[in-house]
Amino acid sequence: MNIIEINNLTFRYGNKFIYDNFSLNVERGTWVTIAGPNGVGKTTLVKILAGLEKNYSDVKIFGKKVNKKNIYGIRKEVGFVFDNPDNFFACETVEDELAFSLENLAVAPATIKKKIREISELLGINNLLKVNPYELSGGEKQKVALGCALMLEPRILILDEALMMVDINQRKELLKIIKDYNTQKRVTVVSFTHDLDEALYSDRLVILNEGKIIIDGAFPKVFDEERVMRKIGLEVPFAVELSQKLRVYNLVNKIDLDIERLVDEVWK
Amino acid sequence: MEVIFRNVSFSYNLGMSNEKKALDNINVFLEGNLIHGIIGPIGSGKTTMLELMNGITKPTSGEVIVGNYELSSLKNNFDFNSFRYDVGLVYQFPEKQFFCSTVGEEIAFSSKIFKSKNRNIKDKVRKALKMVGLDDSYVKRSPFSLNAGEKRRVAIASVLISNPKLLILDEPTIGLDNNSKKRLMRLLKNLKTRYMKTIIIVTHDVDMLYEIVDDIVALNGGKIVKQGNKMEVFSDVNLLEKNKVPVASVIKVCKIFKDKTGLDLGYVKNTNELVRLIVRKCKEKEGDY
Repeated sequence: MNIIEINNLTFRYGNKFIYDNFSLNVERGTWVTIAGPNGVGKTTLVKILAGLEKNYSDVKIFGKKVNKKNIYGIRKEVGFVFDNPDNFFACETVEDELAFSLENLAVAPATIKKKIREISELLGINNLLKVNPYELSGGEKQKVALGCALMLEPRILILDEALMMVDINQRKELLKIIKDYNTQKRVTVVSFTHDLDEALYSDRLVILNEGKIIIDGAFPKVFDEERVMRKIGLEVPFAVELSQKLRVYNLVNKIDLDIERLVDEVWK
Repeated sequence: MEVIFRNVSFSYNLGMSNEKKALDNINVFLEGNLIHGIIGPIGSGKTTMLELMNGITKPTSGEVIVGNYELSSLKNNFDFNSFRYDVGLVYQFPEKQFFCSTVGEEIAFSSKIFKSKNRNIKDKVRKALKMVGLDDSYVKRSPFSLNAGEKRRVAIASVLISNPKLLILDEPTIGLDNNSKKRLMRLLKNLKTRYMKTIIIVTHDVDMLYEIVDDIVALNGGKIVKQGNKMEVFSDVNLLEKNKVPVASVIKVCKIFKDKTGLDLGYVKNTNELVRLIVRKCKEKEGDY
């Protein structure tokens, strides 16, 4: 069952078409990564899904059209995490920031408190609850923004370059947490990024270029198109690059995303 | 332009219940005309170091010296005007601060603030654009019509217009795709070699850093984990990993290769060299060498 449906979407800024007859479906409970070079229209698509652009009758979430009438109901169940948390914070402490959305939905204070404890421990931000969000580092801000989205217990999580300020080690931890939400709680995840290392946690990779889907597939098979990815300016995961280069010397015969296994294969 | 941190400590909210020590008695020497990288996990003190060396904040104790500028006390007579000329800071997502209608106006803005003589501004704008590899045709274009990589370069040009001796960049490659990132790396190398700039990069993009920097300062919990030449710093993978400092991918592979085979690949500059060395070791094992 498709939880997000985009059918023949056309969108333009002035005379420049970003999407022309663009279609994409996302199945419930999956994690889809949508990647593409800078300026390809990733953030535009996020804004369309969030109802921040005009009403688009050709975009549906939970089978409902994303329009003025439905958007309030849709947003209650979709967590959005945007690239720059500074544009989003409204409160004086991280704790208030986490509570904000549930308070607006008139959730009982005790429930909110319990939820804040749960989410802040999960993301490792429980030591930041009394801090002003604007005093945090970029990575910490993004963790808080993710926490705010998770507070809602969303059915869909939409991430727009949401982890790019987080360092590589912590990014892996956060991606594992999101993966758990995806597999255990059946939260559908749609992540927009140009970092294909992040994509390795998802089930499906969709690559956009000039308003069209040029690659759509599962891992690691999708990396057979590595050259195309590079050509449009995407950086493939290091393991893919290494596999491909070792393949030239017949030291490995397929792409392996696990470096330890790759070295074993080379040295067998 | 050299940067010196001597016994520097810094605490946020000093004396309050939520006091947080960001830097703890660090000593750092960053030599002039080199590219330096500052790395570390979230909350390690990277941004605090950047703010201290740019005079945005004062150390709780110790001395911060940038070239001839003593930044520890920042007395009323401190010459911020000439300091801002000599030290350029490029923030994260600098392009988000654009507000002029043309690239030329955007780049000229800081010069106008510093009351530079107007007759020179056009030349300075062109020179700054040239330094970042953009031609004169960009002068009349809207900065908002550019792609992400071009915007980032315009933002750097708007700092370079004052011809700073020291350029400090906070996460310069963040949000850029691979092509834009490579162009930016070439630009930074060029600024060092051709224009003799000292460059300090604060980032968690260690693969990028590994390719372009000379020296590295690795931080964790406000303390120095290791500093020095990048080969020296990255040679101690165990120490860095123990301190949650991100390690460059090629270095990680070298460590895995050594753990599994007992063979040391030595200092590896990039992926191509890594592959060449692995192929060579494999051939030696097969007796082809």
